[in-house]
Parts: sequence; structure tokens; C-alpha cells
Amino acid sequence: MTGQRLSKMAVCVAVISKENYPLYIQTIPTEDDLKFHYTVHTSLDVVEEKINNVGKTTNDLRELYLGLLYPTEDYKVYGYVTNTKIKFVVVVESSNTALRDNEIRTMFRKLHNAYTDMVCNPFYTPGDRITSRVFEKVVNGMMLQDS
Amino acid sequence: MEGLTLSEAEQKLYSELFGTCDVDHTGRVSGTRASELFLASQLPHDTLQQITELCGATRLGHFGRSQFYIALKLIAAVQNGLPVRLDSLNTGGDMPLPRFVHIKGTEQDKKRMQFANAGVSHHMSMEADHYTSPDKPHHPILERQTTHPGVLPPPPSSRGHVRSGSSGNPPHILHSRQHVVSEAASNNLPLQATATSPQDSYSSSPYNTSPPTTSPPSQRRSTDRHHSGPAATAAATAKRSLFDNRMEVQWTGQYGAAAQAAGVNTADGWVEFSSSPASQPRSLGPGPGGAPTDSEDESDPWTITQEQRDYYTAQFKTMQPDLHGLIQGTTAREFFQRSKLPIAQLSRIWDMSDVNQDGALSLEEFFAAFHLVVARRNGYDLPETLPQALMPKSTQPATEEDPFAGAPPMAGGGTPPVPATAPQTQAAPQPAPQAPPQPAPQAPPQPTPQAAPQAPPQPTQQPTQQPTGAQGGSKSADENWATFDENSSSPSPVVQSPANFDFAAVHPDPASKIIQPVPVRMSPEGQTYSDYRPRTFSEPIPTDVVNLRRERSGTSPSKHPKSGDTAEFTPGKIAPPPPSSRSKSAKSSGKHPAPQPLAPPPAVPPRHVSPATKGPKVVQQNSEQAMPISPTPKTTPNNVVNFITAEAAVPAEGLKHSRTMSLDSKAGSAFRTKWTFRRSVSFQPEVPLATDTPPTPPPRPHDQTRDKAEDTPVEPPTKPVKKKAPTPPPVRPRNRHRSGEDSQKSELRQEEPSTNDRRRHVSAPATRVPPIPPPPVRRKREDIQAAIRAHKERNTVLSRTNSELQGDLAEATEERVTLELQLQKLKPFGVTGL
Repeated sequence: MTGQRLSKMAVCVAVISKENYPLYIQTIPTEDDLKFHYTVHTSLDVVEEKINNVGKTTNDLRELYLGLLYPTEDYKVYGYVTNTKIKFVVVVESSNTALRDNEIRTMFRKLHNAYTDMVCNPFYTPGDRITSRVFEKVVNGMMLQDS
Repeated sequence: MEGLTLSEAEQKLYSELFGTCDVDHTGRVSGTRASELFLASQLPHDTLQQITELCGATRLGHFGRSQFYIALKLIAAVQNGLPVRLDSLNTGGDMPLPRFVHIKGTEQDKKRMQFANAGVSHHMSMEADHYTSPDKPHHPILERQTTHPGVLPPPPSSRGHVRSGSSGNPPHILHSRQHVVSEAASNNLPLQATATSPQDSYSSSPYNTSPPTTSPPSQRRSTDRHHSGPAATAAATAKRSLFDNRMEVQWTGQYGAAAQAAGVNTADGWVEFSSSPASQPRSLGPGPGGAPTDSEDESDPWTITQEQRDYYTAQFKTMQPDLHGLIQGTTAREFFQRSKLPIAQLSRIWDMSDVNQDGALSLEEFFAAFHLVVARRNGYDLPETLPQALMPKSTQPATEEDPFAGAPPMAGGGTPPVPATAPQTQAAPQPAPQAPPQPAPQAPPQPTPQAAPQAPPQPTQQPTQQPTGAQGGSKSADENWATFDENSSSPSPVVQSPANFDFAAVHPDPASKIIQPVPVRMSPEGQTYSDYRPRTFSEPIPTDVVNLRRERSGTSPSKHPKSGDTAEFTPGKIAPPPPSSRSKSAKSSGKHPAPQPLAPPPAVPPRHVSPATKGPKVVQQNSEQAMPISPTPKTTPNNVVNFITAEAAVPAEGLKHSRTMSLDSKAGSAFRTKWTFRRSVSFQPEVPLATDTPPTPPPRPHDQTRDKAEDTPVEPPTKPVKKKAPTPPPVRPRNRHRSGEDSQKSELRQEEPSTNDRRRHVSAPATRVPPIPPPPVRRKREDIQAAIRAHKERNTVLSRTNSELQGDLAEATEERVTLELQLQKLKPFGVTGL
């Protein structure tokens, strides 16, 4: 496991609905889930701030990728919000310096795609907790590099 | 009842049998029925008698459930050679299930057997994991099924059976196997038909649950089946197919009577489904198409038989008449919800079958989904990924995040052959009635999936493109930085498309260090130092440019009507009228102190040259910016000359001027222009009148410095442009040194350099970090361009300053002349007076 740590992409992935309640939170099993839940929760404020600010400054298309929301000592939190105000939050380790911004963007793109695919499923009601295994597979794929 | 431990298999089998026998739903099995069943076990009557007594039925006069179970277990024990004693019950957990041999003569037994089997197998168990029967009982089933797999008979592993579906199989199987062997062909058909029939019935029936109604239909069906050959009555569920036609025939007669009740009892949902007229197609197909299909079925339980396919097609048409079209998600949702499967499972089925992820089902996708639902209803567990056999023929290789692990893009290629051949083979033997519809559905499904896949490929491609786009985007984003700075000050980066958020131009990480291109409104001039500080430039060259700009801005704003004006050097950002520019410059200067400590990289040397060359332009720009007021062409040349001279004389000066302007190359040139204005303004007042043109440069720096100083405090919120400011400052100090001006200048110089250096040092590390990602080459280019712009600005500023000074000079001269005149006038008096 330690060997994998460095290659890990994300430590925690969360999907928040537009009403700011969680639709999906997944953390790597070895970590304390609650801590990440809290981190994601606090990052919501930053997300809101960013999307509100962008709205003020530019009336045109708002950027989906919010970028680094805030760095903590051990982790960095990245955010992404869709046009339907669905927020994706990804927490990565600060020690994972090899993780480039581009890779984070790729990660979010994948998440977004998986989410839209899931929404296409008529049996999924937007606003429900996400139980799609396909989606989980995508998330797991980005949480562990080797998966 | 004695402690009776039953294994899962036993439990299921026993309950099935009990259900079979207890047709009256009374909870008890009469002695007669029980005896019939027991007789089927081929045990001697005496043994059976003993068993009956042991279980307590004799006492009760009937077989309650527990008694029944005990009896069954005893039978099993006896069959295995154990003595007939209650102790046998608890001998071992691996006691095989009791075997009941079907006795032809005993119709009731047959029925019961069938029911037992049927009910068991067909019990609609929604949830898998119920059944964990040992493998043993399954083997027979498997064996049986191997002969005619494909059809969905009781799930081989029938894990999902709530009731011991499979448990009911063993006894049944033993029996059926014999028949199977003897009548493989016919059995195949029945099996297939059976398998399909449940599906058909299931699908066709609106999922109603009216057992009674089913019996007659099932009876009818069985009759039909019988006629058709396989006679796999739906009601009986797949199991029934196991029995040969003879049995069915017999059954038919009795089935109607007893079967109904029992069948209904066990195959609740099934019965209904089967009753539906949907069975008709089944009856048509099964016979002829049975054999060929069987071969295919054997290979893969997931293969859709032709009969099933036809049925599915019919169902598809009810929702979407166009076989090439798609069933929308909502419609499909309602349809599949009728299957009463839990939404979670339906969701999974959808995930698997909607290959192209378009939210709708094409015919092929519909087949897959329907088949999966049927399988699930039959107790099959849902696979993790779509089975090969169910993959749409022309499947486009799903999306890149292919959930069908087992079905990579090639799956489409691999699958088509199988299903393609299957339908074809099926189609061949198919009788005429089906022929026409088959080819039609066959053809359409293929084209449809192809059409559908075409759509998916596009979305699939899009995702693939997105990554590439993202890649490209990111690179372009970097480049955009430069452009951003130069062109637009819009904070929002270029968003090429919603999907391509890769290069959202906004790079959070570097953002902290690398200034957003935002044009630097460097107000800078006055405050060289302050400017320095805030500018956290990462680029050396820009600083030079900034310096230039600062100079210009310093000079221009004030009142440089002269120089022509060429706002063009800042393409997009021609400074607005002086006042605003002034404010802007003030702002910029103010900003300088605020922003991060950009390290004004040295890169000074080149600067020196540029200002000179840009002199003329700068002058023009300066003038223009300074004031629309009075473009003084005449002064322009002067300024130009002066400027040039000044520049030539003290190239460093110019640089110094621009020092405060740490405009980043990326920053809009407008900033530079503003600086220019600023510069000119600030310079003028402070320029000593006595200074000649040559000397003007020296004082200018001072002024500039002061201006900058003034400006800096004014505008704290410097934009990122400010960051660039630091770069110029370093240049300037150096220049100052070189120029070796007067004390002030030297002071300033010293201050600047030190400050700049300080700032530089401070900002250096900061800037170092961010620049890493962007390619250095590009930066240099940008830097050079920025430097050029900065120089131009500087030139403008200088020229303006020059003109101002000249004006002052002229005034001073006039005054002097006046005073002299006065003096002369007075003198004579004095002299003459004397």
C-alpha cells in the first residue's frame, strides 16, 4: 500500500448536488473518512465563493474547472462545478507533487462524463445518492493509480 | 418437532415439495399425497411407513410442514443407506436430497414433480443470494442444461432462487435427465420454449398476478406447446420443458386440474406472465427453431434465442414502432418497472445495456436489457458486465469508460459474429410466418445498432477528443497566458467549450505566482520601490518592459500634449484620457506594492537598447496618452530628439524610468501606456527647469521615482500587472548606476536597485515556482515582445517628459529675460541716478 501511495491520484472524491448535499463520497479506505468528509464540506464554501465571483466578473461562460480551492498542510482540494451546479471535489495529497494541474482536469472530465452517463439512466433520479457501479468504477479508477 | 437442521438445498427442496403437495394451501399434506410422493422415492412401503410414523404424521393424520420435512429427510437418509431412525436426521449435513423417481403411472406425482420443479425454478426471486444450494443438486441441473442451455431454464447456479428452485431440480433432474437423454431434441425445444415462454409470458403479461387466469392459459399453452412440439408450457416454467412431450401431454390433462392450483401456487408471477398471449410467438418458434437454437443456447445462457428475439422485437414495437429508432429512457423505465425488479437492479441493467450511453435504447440494447430482466426474473444474477452475447451487434465500443469490462471495443466485433450467426441460423429453420418478421428485425437490429453506434462513436470520440483537446487546451492555455496579458484583461480564461475545461486558462497553482495576464495598470512610476515590491514577476524581461512603461506612464499623463500619439503600442489598451490614465497609473503604482513579490528578473541589458530604438514610438504614444490635448507635433520631434538623445546619452535613464513599471509582458500594453502617462505627469512638475534636454533624463528618473512613490500609495489594489513592475525597476537601477546621475538619481538608483534587488530576491523564489510549467521559450518570446512594448511606452513617456521640460525651460527662459530687462531698466536708474 505504501508503495502505491505515491502513485495514487486522488485521496477522496465527492459529488455534491446543487443543494449542497452529498451525492457521493468516496475515500480511500485506509484514510479517516470523517476527516475527508469534513474537508469536502468546508471546501464547499470556497466553491460557492468562486462561482459567485466568477459570475460577477464575467457574464459569459463560467469556467467549470475551479482549480485549487485551498491547500491544507497535507492535502490539496480541487473543485469543479457543472452548469447544473453539481460540484465535484477531489482531494489529493500534497506530497503528490507529480500530480499536475492537467491531470486534475482530466480527472474532473472523467468524473463529469461518468456523471452524465449516469444521469442518462432513466432509473436514476437526479438528487438520489449515486449507486451506479459504473460510476464507482470510474471513481475507483482514479483513486488508485493501479486500478 | 425434533431439532431438524436442514441445509439450504434441503430446505428449498422440501418446501417446494411441500408446496407441491399442499395444493389446498392448508398447511398440511394429506396422507395420500404424501404417500404418492414417498412412493416416488422408490422406497419400500415398510420404510415409508416407518418414516411416516417417525415424523409424526401418523399421529396427526396428516403431514404438517415439519412432519413433511422430517419425512423427506428420512427418505433421503434411507436412500443413502441410513437406518430409518430419527437419529438419521442429524447424521450429517451433507446428506443428499431425497430422490424421487418419477413414476409414470402416477400422474399426480408427475404433476407434483413438475410443480416442484417448476415452482422452484420459476419462483420469481428478485433477490439473488437466497439460494446457496450445494453444488450437487446443481450438477444435474447443469447437466441437463448443457443439453439445452441458452434457454433460460432454472439458473444453473440458481443462486437467486428464494425457494429451493434448484433443490426441486435434483429429483426432477434425475428423472428428467433420463428423458432428456432419450429425447434430447424434443427436450431442447421444450427447454428453449420453456425458457422463452417464461420470458415471453413475463414480458408480455402486464405483470399482473392472477393465478387463476394463468392456469387455463398455461393449460392452453401446454397444449399449444404440445402441438408445437416442445410443448413447454410457460406455467410450468422452464422446468417443464424438461419433461418430454409425453409427460406434457399427460400433464396437460391433469395440469389443468391440479397443476393449476399447484402451479399457480409456486409460479405466481410466472404463471401470469406465461398466460399472456405472448406465448403465441413462442409456440410458433419453438418447434422448428428449437434445434438450431439449442446449439447456440448451449454455448451461452445469455444468447437470445430467436423466439426471444422476436418477442422482444414485438415488445419494442409497442413502444417504438420504428425498429431503427430508440426507446426513450422514460418510456423504457416505465416498461421495465413493470417487471417489478428493484430499481437498483433495473438501474444496473440499464447501465449495462445502454452501450452508447445515450439515455435511450436501440433495438439491440433493448434486447440486452430485456434479456437481462428476464434472466433476473428467472433468478439469474446480473452479471457485472454485459455478456458478450448481449452486446449489440454493431456495438460501438461503448464509451471510453467502458463499464463492460468484458466487452472492450472489440467486443462489438466479437459479438456480432455470434449473434449474427445465431439469428441467421435461427432464421433459417424458422417457418414462414417468422421469416418475414425475422429478417426484418434482424436487419433493423443490425442497422439500428449500427446507427446507434454511430451516435455513440461520436460521443465516444468526443470524450477521446476531449482528452486530446484538453491536452492541447492546456498547452494553448499556457500560450493564452501571454495573449491574455497582451490582449484582454478578462479574468476568465478562454473557454473553448464546456467540455474542454482543461485549459481553463485559469491555473490555480500558478495563479498565486504567475500573474494572470491581466494587464498591469501599473501606476508605478512614482513608486519605483513600491512597484517593485508588489510585482511578483516571473519573467525577467517584462520587468524591463515594465520599467519602460512606467517611465512612459509617468511622463505621459501629466501633460504631454506633445508627442504624437500612438496609442498603438499597446494595441488593446491604449490608455484612456490622462486623468483616467493617471488614476490608472496611480492605481498601478499603488498596486505595485500590494501584489506578491514578483522577482523582477534582471534581464536588464537588452532593455537598454530597446528604449532608444523605440524612442520615436514611445514619444508618440506618450503624447497621445498624455493628452489628447495638444498634440504638438513640433514638440514631438523635439521630444523625439530629446528622447533619443537622452536615450542615447543615457540609455540607462530610460530604463530607469521604466523601472517602476513592472508591467509584465503579458499585461496589456495599456498598462504601459498608462504608466507612460503617469510618468509624464509626474515628471514634469519635478523636472527642474534648468535642465536641458540632456539633463532631463537625469531628473526624470527622480521624478519618476517620486511619481511612482506617489502613485504607489494611491492604488493599492494593483492587478497582476503590477507584478511585472518589479522587473523594470531592476532595470532602472542598473541604468541609473550606469548613468551616474546626480545625487538624487544615484540615491534613487541605489534605492531602486536595492529595493529592486530586494524585491527581486523576494519575488524570485516565488516566481520561480510558477514559471516552471510554462515553456521557457515561449516566455522569452513573450518577454521580448513585452519588453518591446515597454520600451515603446517608456519612449513615449520620455518624450512627453521631454516636451514638458522644454516647456518649462521656455518659461523659465522667458522669466529670465523679463527679469533681466527689468534689471536693466533699473540699473540705468541707479547708474544714472548716481
